[in-house]
Amino acid sequence: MRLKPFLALGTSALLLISISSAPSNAAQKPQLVKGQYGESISAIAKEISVDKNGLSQIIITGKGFDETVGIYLAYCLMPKAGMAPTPCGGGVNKSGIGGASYWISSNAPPYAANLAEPFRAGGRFSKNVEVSDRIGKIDCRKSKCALTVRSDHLREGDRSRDLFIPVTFKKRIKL
Amino acid sequence: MKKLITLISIFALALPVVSAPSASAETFVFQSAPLTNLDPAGATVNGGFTKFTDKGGMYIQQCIAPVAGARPATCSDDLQLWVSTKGEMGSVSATGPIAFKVASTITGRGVSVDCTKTSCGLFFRLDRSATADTSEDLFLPITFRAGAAAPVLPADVVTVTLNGKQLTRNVPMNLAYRQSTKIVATSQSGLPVTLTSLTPECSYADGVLTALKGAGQCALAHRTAGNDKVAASSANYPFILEPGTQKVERATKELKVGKPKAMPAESNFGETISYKSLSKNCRVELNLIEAQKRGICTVVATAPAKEGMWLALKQQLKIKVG
Repeated sequence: MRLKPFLALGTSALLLISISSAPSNAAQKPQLVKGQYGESISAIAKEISVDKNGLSQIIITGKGFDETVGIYLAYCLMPKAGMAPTPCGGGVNKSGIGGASYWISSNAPPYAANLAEPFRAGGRFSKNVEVSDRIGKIDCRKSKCALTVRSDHLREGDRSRDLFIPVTFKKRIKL
Repeated sequence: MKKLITLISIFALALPVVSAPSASAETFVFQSAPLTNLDPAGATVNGGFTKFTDKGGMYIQQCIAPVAGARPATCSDDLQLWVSTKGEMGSVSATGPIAFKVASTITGRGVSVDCTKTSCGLFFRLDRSATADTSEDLFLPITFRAGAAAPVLPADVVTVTLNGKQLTRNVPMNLAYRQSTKIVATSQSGLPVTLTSLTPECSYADGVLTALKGAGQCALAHRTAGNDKVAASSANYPFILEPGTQKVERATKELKVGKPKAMPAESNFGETISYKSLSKNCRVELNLIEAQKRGICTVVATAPAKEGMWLALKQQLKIKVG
């Protein structure tokens, strides 16, 4: 008799521990995108609500990344196939919140000691990425924008590690 | 035609093939300018590999001539090169020119040797990837002409330890993926010791060396600048990387009857953990554990291995039920 509630609780507990989600999108399932080297990223990025400034926060997690290869994580206009994602929004924010881009590298050059952040063991990361319905003059409600991962500038031109999670926004309600 | 012959002659004069007769079966060919009558005040041997071994990278060191059948016992701490085809940081390319600085006096392991009186030479050997393999060992004698030697500074003594254990230059040590390490480097002179990771497979920052792979090799390097009292110092410390050990971190240690608790869903390396109860007084669903009776609840946590990174997890956890 007690098995069912125990199982239900177990399932929700597992999800709560293994997946981080934005409070306003808690009911959604995260989108999982896998790369060709065993790495993956996951985030809840559909029908995102934005504040009065057109901004929102999305938690993106990654695992299984090759820790010897640095990556950029950024919110960008979805590129054409085979092209690098650009333009991208925001810049590095070392406070840990509200950043629209991050440099994750466990072996960054000495000049980048305070810019890059290392992977966690297992090639993992979890970042709060600031997204907006506009990137400069680009309207992300009309054009496709995405959370993007790519190799850092030390492997410029290597498109084999590009990963994308498209971001969509809730329709505005006219008052 | 005449021009071509002249060119070949000039080349032959500048780069005579230096390949000492040897009982070993080295597969590389190193050509260089003459190794005799070198300037005792300091000289550079310019040359290059016309054929390189496919067994791995190589070290070139200035050493005292070895006794027959052995490797040189004393080599310069500073006059050495790492040659590689892979372009690792700190190495020189096997396909490019090799400029090797030699000195009439060398200092190694705290001992200074006068190479105008003692037989010295260039010693070629496979690098840390095959330290015990002597198949590519080759000693090419060098000589210096009469003259004044450059002033010799005493060697600095640099000690590098990993978790308190002293590292030996060019001698590999095992290092597991994400193993907890603390590196401490000190110099007898008091000069600062600069440490760097030479390969992307390991990172070094703030006294911590971290293996980022569970297979292959990496290397740490030390360097001191030297001053007017002691010579500059440098050395490489190789590591053979091995798979890391998965753990269940922050596991529940106590339970109350009828009150389920969540166990960590992932291992310290992010692998999904499966739990199984070995006790009758508790049961497990996914990562949730619930006890029905007081006593000790034993569960087994398992997680898969990742090739070249970490071993499989199989950890028994004993949880007190109150």
